[in-house]
Amino acid sequence: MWLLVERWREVYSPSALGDRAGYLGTEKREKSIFLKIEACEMVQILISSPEEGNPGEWMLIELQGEIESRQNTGLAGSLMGDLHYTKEGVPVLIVGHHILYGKVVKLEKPFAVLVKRSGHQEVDDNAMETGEAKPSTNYQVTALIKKKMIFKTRPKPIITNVPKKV
Amino acid sequence: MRTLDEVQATLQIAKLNVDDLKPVIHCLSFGENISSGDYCLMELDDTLCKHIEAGKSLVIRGDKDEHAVLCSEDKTYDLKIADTSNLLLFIPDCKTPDHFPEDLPCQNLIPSRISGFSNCYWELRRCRPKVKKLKKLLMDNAYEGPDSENERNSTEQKYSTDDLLERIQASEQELLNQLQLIHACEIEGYWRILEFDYEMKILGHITQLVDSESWSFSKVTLSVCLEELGPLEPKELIEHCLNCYGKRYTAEAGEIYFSLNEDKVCRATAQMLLQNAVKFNLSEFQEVWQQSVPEGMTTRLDQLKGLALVDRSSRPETIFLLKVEDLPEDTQERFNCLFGMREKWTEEAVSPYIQDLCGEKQTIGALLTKYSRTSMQNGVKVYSSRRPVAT
Repeated sequence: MWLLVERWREVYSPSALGDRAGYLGTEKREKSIFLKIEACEMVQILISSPEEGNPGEWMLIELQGEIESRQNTGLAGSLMGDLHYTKEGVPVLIVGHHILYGKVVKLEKPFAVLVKRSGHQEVDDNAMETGEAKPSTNYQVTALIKKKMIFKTRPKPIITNVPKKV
Repeated sequence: MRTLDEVQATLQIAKLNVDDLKPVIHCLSFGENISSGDYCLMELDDTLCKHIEAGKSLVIRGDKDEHAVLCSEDKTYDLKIADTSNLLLFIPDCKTPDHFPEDLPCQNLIPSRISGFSNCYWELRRCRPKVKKLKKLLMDNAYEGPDSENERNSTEQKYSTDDLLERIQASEQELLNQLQLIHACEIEGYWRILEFDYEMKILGHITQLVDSESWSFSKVTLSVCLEELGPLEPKELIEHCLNCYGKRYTAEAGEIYFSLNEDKVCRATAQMLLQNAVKFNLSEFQEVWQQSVPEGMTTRLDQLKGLALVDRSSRPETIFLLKVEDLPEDTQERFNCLFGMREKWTEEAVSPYIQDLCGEKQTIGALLTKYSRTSMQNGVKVYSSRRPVAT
């Protein structure tokens, strides 16, 4: 089974007006990679809803660029930053030496967060008798995301060491 | 875990005024399993979102050489991965600003774990189910009757609904609709297509009975059909045939009747005649056709849309069998095929052969605009290929 991968790039123009980057929109860069997702015969991959009740709602934060850990120790378990809200409801994120201002946006198309589960799927009654099981992949919906906080402005550096005026 | 003091210190260095901010701070950190979690994001439309919230599941279907599709119980979607240059972080416990009032007695720190991140997501776009494969699969072992040689000795594969769902990229409802369209019949738990000649034989029995009983076509009694024709053919098949070529209804006293569909009967009769030769002289064909249908039924050329094509440019005019289901499923390939057969088409002639290509909310006109070029011929608008096609 093949999945088409399309690359999108957020396009910004450097602005002469200061540190606010002008957001121009998304531009498709290339669209030709086919990703093989299952190498065997015809498959049905199940995406199931959570067993009990409604899936919860999570938040999505969208950032331009990448996040790296300062000491190259990897990200797991480490602090990322502080998220504040102004009284008007504008999200403010302090990450490392940067401040980013963002916006809460309702998603036109909500996301489902899927978790991949590999397991053994009993194929049918006959197979069960012989103890046969097909190793299979399936996904479970863990949560839905209906809103996101997007931080599009260029991060403002925090200057911690101001040289004293002589 | 950060303390309030540390957070406040950071605010001070950042020169942000505490008074401008709500007294709620989410301290974000990366979860322990951040890199190993096998998370992915899937974009949904309204319908799918409600579907998931209702606890229903979805299935991805595809053979090793096919593009993956996602199916709900009654719709099919093309599945693609969209890759973005932005980073997407997902956080379970993070509330939006409107959740909190402006004034709280003191500052609250909420530790929030980022459980995963991604820079791509699955994109879904509604598409037509890929059902062309279905007829071919079932025709490999067409049903010729319970007494036929083939049936008794057959080792050919037979398919139940579940078997078909494993092979066809369609939702269950779309699959069942297509099965009905191609006159498939469920016999002993397996879906079978009747051999065309066999199907016509049964239809012939029915129309002869209608004639000998002097019934009206709109009042064919089921019980009498089963009684009179039962000795000739299996009762389920007689009823199946009535369902394919007529409309079932219940009248007074619970008696079941069928109203035979003149268009369907005439169309099937035409197919029976046309499949025996490459081409027919149009006027000769029309005469034989009218004589072959049950007395009382009237044949009309528009009954043959998507089944036969009339060539009005040849002398004498001819007609030949061209079934839409024998043409390519892919839109561009279909147009190439049609233009390869005939350089210019009028809208009237080509419509039946592209109708099934229209997506949701797409019209024939839009399809023609996208895939063909228009020109005028003898005062009539005609459509031809956008690119050179070998005829």
